[in-house]
Amino acid sequence: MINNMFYFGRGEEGSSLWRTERRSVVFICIMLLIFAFDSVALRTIDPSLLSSYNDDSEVYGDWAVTYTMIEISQTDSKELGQNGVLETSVDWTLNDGEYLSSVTLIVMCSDEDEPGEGFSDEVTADTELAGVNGNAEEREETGACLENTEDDIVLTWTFADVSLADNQTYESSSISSVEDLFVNGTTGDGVWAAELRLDVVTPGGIGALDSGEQVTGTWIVQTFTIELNDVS
Amino acid sequence: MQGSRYLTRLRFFAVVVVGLALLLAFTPNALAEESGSDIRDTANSLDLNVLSMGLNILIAGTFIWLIFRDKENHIQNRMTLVALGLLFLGNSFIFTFQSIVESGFGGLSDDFSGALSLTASALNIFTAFLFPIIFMLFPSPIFTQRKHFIGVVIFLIATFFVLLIGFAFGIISFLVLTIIFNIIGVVGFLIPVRWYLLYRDSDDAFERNHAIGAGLIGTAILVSQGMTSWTSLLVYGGESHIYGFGSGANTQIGEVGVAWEVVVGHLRSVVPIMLLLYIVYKELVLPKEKRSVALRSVALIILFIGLLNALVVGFINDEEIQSLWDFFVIQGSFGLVRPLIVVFIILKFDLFDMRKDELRRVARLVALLLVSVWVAMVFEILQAFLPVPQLLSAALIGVVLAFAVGWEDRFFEHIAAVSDDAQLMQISAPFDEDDPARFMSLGALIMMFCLLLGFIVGGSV
Repeated sequence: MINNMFYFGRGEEGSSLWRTERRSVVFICIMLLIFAFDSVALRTIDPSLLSSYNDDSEVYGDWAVTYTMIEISQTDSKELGQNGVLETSVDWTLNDGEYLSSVTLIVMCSDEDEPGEGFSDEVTADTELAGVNGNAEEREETGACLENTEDDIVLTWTFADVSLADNQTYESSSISSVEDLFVNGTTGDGVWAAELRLDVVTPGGIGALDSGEQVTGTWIVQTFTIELNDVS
Repeated sequence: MQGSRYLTRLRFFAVVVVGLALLLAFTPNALAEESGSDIRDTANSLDLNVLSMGLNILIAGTFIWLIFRDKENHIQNRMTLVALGLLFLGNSFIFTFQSIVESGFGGLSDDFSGALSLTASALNIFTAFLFPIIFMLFPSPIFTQRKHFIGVVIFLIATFFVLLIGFAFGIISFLVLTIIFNIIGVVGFLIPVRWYLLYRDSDDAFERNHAIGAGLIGTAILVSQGMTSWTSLLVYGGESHIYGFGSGANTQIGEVGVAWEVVVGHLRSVVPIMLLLYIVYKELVLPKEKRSVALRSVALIILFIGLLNALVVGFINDEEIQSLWDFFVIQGSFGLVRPLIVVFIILKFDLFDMRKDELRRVARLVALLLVSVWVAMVFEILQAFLPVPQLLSAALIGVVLAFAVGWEDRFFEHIAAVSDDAQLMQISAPFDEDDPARFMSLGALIMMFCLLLGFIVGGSV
């Protein structure tokens, strides 16, 4: 049984049901009206019309991704002798909506004044990445300056792989959830620097023949921007 | 005469509505997003969590002690204290887990943090399911038969388990969870609303007590359910709720319109907001002899906080301050405001016998501790916004406490004297003498289940 004081319809003797229940009825009617208003208005309104709508990253849809690759490159070159050093660096900043795909350092040198492959000069690339935003692993690698070889050392740091999203449709997803796929590419800008050091390897007695080599360091930075097209 | 009184009320209401409309019109950014950014970055949120934890543990412990110490107390009062004790115990665990996750303790594993966060969420749902039970018990039980109470409690517990387990294991969608959770919530919220609407201007003081009790417990419990965002009702469709309704619904904005989860979730806030606005109106227009100073003050303070909330969100563009404020309003509503109102209700409506020396001594001690923690929390909030040095803040706390010592006894006397006239209808038929212990054990078991579930699902055990 329901408490007499709380029971629906209880009233003083002679008082009508409406008199005792009118406030509850009005309260519930207003509540239902607001709910009905919400159901119609909020379900049909374009969120971009709301004044607080300043971020469209939560808009849902079926998204197809198209992307545009951007490449930045920088080359430094110098003729180095024994233990000679070439300092090379590239400095850039990611723009809004731009993601880093990869950074590559290509070192080239060609030892053309040695008698054979066993006596090729060597070049060492030692990277200095303290000025890079985010985590990028510093590396040191040595390669031989082989004749007629384009790339003697190739160091690549990969961040976000946009090709995975190629020809893909992300259904019932928010923009931010699609963008999150490339979150690894949101850092990595800053100063990428390396020290290229030449070690002249010469067979005994014929050292005079080896006068050092032209060492070239090339940075290739690949970034991309994406565009989400609603295909729903 | 009657017509003139209604005309005065109408004029007053019109002035309030126009005033608020003008205020909001000059606060264009009040429409802006109310939800905060990441609160983890805010420096002082951990302190508030720890203080809230202390305050809730203190109150829960006191209630539990009172339930088992004072067995001569009316069974209805003891049952109300159990429900409130479980609510504060649940909240204290939530604050504890949040504090642990936030502090990190020098490196918690992701699994452990995830388990604690999920447990806190499960406990949050559990405390929400306690609301209808509290409303069924206070100011007076709405059922007079035991089987009806047991039936409703079993229904609530069964629904809680089905929703929690179903959602945790992906059987129940977020939409189903939201709809069932909010419908149960809204029906429960209507209980204090009905008490208040029925008897607030009754000529019988006994009946009026029920309305005042319902108004106080309603604001105490529902202050955390969107009351402080009451300005959103004056903005198109409660716009801020779309962006501020918890993390789940935040992600549910569709290409056109918002998701049903948000619409149904908004209804959960509409009832508390309507109740608050009606209480404010009613307490201001009631004749002097029928007024409740306490209820009027509480309602006006919450109304003021809501207004301040809109102004802070609207005028302050600093994201860090906004998120800090947002955090304090949300956490402060059930960490700070609720304990104070509930303690007042306990004292005001004689939910334990203040004439017993032992109980009175403990109550005084707890009151002093409560005042200390509460004052510390208020200064913590002030410190977050005003550059008050720690030393000055500590000195101010000392000054406030110096005034509080001694004052609490007079305050107790005053409330005890008033409470002689604050009688409520007491019914013992629906309850058994062992029910408080049973109810408490059941609550403890459910909380342990939440912990277990948190570690199984969140901790990848």
